[in-house]
Amino acid sequence: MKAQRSFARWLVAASVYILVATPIWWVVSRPHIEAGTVPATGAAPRAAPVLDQKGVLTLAKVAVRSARLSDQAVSEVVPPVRLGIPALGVDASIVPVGVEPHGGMEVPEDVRTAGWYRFGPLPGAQGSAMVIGHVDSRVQGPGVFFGLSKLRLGERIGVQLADGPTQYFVAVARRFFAKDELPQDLFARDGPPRLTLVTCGGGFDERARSYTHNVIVYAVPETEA
Amino acid sequence: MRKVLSLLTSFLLVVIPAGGSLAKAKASSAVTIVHGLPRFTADVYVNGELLLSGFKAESTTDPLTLEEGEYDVAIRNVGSAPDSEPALQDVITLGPGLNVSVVAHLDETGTPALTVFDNDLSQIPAGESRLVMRHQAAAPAVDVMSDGETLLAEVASGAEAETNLAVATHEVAVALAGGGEEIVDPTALQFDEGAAQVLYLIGSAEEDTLDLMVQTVSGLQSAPAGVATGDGGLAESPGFPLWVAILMVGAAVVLVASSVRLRKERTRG
Repeated sequence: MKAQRSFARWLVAASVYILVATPIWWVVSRPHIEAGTVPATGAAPRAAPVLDQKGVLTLAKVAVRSARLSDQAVSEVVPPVRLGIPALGVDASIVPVGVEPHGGMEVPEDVRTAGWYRFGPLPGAQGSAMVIGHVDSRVQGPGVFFGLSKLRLGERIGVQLADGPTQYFVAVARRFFAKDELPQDLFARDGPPRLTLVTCGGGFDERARSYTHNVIVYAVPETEA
Repeated sequence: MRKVLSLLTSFLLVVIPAGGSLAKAKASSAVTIVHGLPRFTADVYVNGELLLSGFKAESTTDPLTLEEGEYDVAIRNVGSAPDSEPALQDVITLGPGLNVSVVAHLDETGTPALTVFDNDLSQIPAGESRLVMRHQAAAPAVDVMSDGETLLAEVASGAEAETNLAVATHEVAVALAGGGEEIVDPTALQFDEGAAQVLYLIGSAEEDTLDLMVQTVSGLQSAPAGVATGDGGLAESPGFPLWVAILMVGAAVVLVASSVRLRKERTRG
């Protein structure tokens, strides 16, 4: 009788332990995507007024430009062509991507090819440049950014432009956003240079065959890190 | 009660003036000055202060920050005495938080005039650019062509028209409305995403000084609707595993059963 009672006590203790410990274990063992500080970008605040409150000029010189149609420069864009992330074993070609008719971003057909958002800045130029890549494909398997959510901060990212030079960036932050809540500053055209690598992650909706979130790695030019 | 009242009074005394002064703080606007008077080099005065000296025809300033209010704008021939009769003078009223262009130009009769345009800051869909045409010349109505096709038809002197177009370098030209004579030859102009190219037709048909000026208004881009980069599901974050759930349900059942058993025994014993 006594033995039965102590066995019952033991069962109570064991089940309480299981009920408490398993949720804790699950939370702790989940992959932690968010890390680091997102580097700032975006336009500088507006300049001080030209006239002060007494109506006196505060500006020594006003910037002036020729507005003649024939004086306007037409710039030739030199797109990025190759992406290297040694820590992930990534050495992929980059193609320019735009916008689909329904408004979503174009994604390269080949899952081993990355895409540069051609309407945003060039990697290394002012503003927030974006390179996107597949995490995977049902048909083609793992994509170029399959391991992106595990890229350690401080790792090097190389982007080669079509005319030769490779610019190096350093990963400084990882973030995780619901797909319809991407921050607007990802598309900033002004401010300090910043590179973002974007792919999919989070839960997977089997019916829509789509992930619920985007994984974003933020990087800054190597000299600044 | 007294204490509450005095607290309330001091609160009102402190908060209301603060709120009042906040409401009075002036909001600023961005102002671009566009010089569309042909063959004229100008000195530009704002409220009697010389803002710009030797401002050449067919140039613009970068956007200047001005607080809301009324401004007296006077334009004189370069080097003229500050108290001499201006070639052009007007008072412009500036509201808060705007982006405006102040254009010195010839009106349809060939008389110098100052016109203020409110620049359209509405967002442009991702992947597109915008063309704005402002007819600011002493000339008949015109059509605006892009790559040989009419993009905007029948824009009369003083009028403004706009349309969105694909991001690219387009050959822009202006001809008299209705398939008339070409006024400005096709010229390559780059249309960037999320930026408006504002064209000004300036000058005079009679004096053969018609030309196109360009001002770029940027920062109107919108973001793509989303980035969908996977349909495989291989990289899915682990959800709550089924075996753990079964284990926990099992543990809960055992817990209830054993405690019931223990209680029964206790009451019996």
